[in-house]
Amino acid sequence: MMEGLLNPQTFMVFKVVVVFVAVLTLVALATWAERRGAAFIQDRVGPNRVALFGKIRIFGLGQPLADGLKLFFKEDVLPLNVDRVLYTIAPVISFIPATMTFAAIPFGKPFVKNGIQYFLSILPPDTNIGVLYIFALAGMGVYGIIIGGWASNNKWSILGAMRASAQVISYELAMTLAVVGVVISAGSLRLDRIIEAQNGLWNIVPQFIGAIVFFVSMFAETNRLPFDFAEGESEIIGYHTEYMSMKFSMFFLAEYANMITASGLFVTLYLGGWHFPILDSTVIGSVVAFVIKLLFVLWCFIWVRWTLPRFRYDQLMRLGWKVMLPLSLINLVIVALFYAYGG
Amino acid sequence: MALKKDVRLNWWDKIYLPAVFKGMYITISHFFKTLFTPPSKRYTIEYPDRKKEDIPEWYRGLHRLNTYPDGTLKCVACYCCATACPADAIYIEPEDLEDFDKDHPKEKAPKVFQIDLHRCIYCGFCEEACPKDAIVLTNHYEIVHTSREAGIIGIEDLIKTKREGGE
Amino acid sequence: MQLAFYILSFIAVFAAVMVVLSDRPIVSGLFLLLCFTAISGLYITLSAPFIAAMQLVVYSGAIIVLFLFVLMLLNQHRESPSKRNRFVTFVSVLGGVLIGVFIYLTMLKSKILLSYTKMSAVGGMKNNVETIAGVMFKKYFIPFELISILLLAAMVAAVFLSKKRV
Repeated sequence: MMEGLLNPQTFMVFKVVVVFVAVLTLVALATWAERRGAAFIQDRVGPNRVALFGKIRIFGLGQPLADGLKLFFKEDVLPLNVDRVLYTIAPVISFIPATMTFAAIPFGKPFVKNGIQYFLSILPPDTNIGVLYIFALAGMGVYGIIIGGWASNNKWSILGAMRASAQVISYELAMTLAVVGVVISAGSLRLDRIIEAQNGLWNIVPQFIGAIVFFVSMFAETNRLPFDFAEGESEIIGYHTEYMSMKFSMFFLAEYANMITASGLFVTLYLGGWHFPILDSTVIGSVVAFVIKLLFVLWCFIWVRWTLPRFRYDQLMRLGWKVMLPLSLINLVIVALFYAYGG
Repeated sequence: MALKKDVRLNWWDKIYLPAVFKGMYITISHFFKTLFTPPSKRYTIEYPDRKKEDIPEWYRGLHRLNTYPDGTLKCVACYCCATACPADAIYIEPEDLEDFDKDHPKEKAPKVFQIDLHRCIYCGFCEEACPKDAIVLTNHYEIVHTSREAGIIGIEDLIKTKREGGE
Repeated sequence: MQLAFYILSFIAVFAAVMVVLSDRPIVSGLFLLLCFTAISGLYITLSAPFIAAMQLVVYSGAIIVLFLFVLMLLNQHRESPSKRNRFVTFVSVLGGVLIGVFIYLTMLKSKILLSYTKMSAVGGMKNNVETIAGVMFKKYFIPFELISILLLAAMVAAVFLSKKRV
């Protein structure tokens, strides 16, 4: 069976299927971890009662399944006077890039068999645009928010959409500039080269400022809680106020898929990708190391969400433009100077 | 009046990150504390599996009509409870007692005594108003019905309600 | 690849036409987005993924968002149907087509247009970024820097002009 998998075309299909299924499963698990983690942080118990066949409770792991079924069978009402086409297309626009971005991330060590090199990322790394691919598609995701907010025919939705898109655009700059530092240190846009360059010393150590900027911007880009102006679930209302059932759950899935991709990107850029002292000697071990790191960063998303309150809008903009952007520029200058004269 | 507090932050406070890490330490400590607490010692009582044991006696739960030891109702159908009831949940149909009972001197007794448990707000006013200590609220709190009709209970059910603390 | 080219160019042209024909500014903006995205797909078929990604990041990701922002903030009204008569419409469409054909013929003569297969062979998938960087920072270094300074000056001027008090 393993031999059959190594046919390049079959291997490609295998990778696509595995990654897609893994990401969507991880999305479900992330919603579960979010609710259980939140409960434990607040000394509660959280959802633990959904049982398989009415008997096996498995810590409430059936909850995402039950939620998904509920959303799937819910009535889908079209609000009055919405733009029908755009209203329907908006969740799709935010869902597709969210699931596509993970394609560029190498989740394991490349290996050679029978003279052919196999890369463990869907996008062939020799297209040479790994980082740019992710940023290009992540930039597309904001259209789901804008179109969804605009097509809903609701002033709160459009206000939420404006807030969210302004925030995403502002933090994209700082994020990109922080990544440029990593690209300089690796000398390539290819994500596998970036990982190779971190062998021994992970980027988070020499580029600590860049890592912090990237980490903070990551929360803003995925609209997560210290900066969740898009959703604003506690008091202000966001772009998907008028959405329900499957359309809402597509926005929801997109948010969690973006979290996973952002975690994967952070691991790739700053935490050394699949490198880990003993584990990365085998291919399987490298995948395991990558997944462990990814899960840790994903947990940080949840952890921070239940620790910090939301920023005010002007504070958010001030932080983005007056703190994060200069910090990322400082990081860029330091790294550039080091590699021009020191390295 | 808006209170304006003069807060001076030094450099260490202004970079925020130490405070963020402190907060994250607190949340993760709560996370692990709850994670390693066995379910029986958590604050949450997971109801159908575990029930709250120490319901105090003054808890106002399901109603009970008291009887004398020989089984006669203490109630004299005086309407005090029904008048006091703010939710209008008590319905009484009295009947005159022809044969005067020597042990329990009373002229009237309820023929029908119904409490609509869906209307009752468990305020305990009926208990306060009753001159004969006939109606009391016990500490049984598991009051469940599958229809509105089942929520209207009569004398037979009200007598059977257990006293506080079992029996 | 040929099929992809035809599909993508059809989408691009269709979207570009719809930008003009649509009577709602926001929908026009979204068709412009579709047009740019299709063009970035064309760049990929030309084996220039770097340019494709840049097209997505800069045009689709940043510029259209700003367009939509302004359109959403300014007005949300449908454009009233134009009052021009049929003759003017006919003449303007004819003129547009004629100008397009003229530009195409001129370019054909000046040999700026390469054939499709020839174009895809120029870049080569492998070292897109290095090729572009070599051209930008070695061959055309001074013009590139001058353009940067021009853009910076324009940016400062825009800030200066839009600010009421300095």
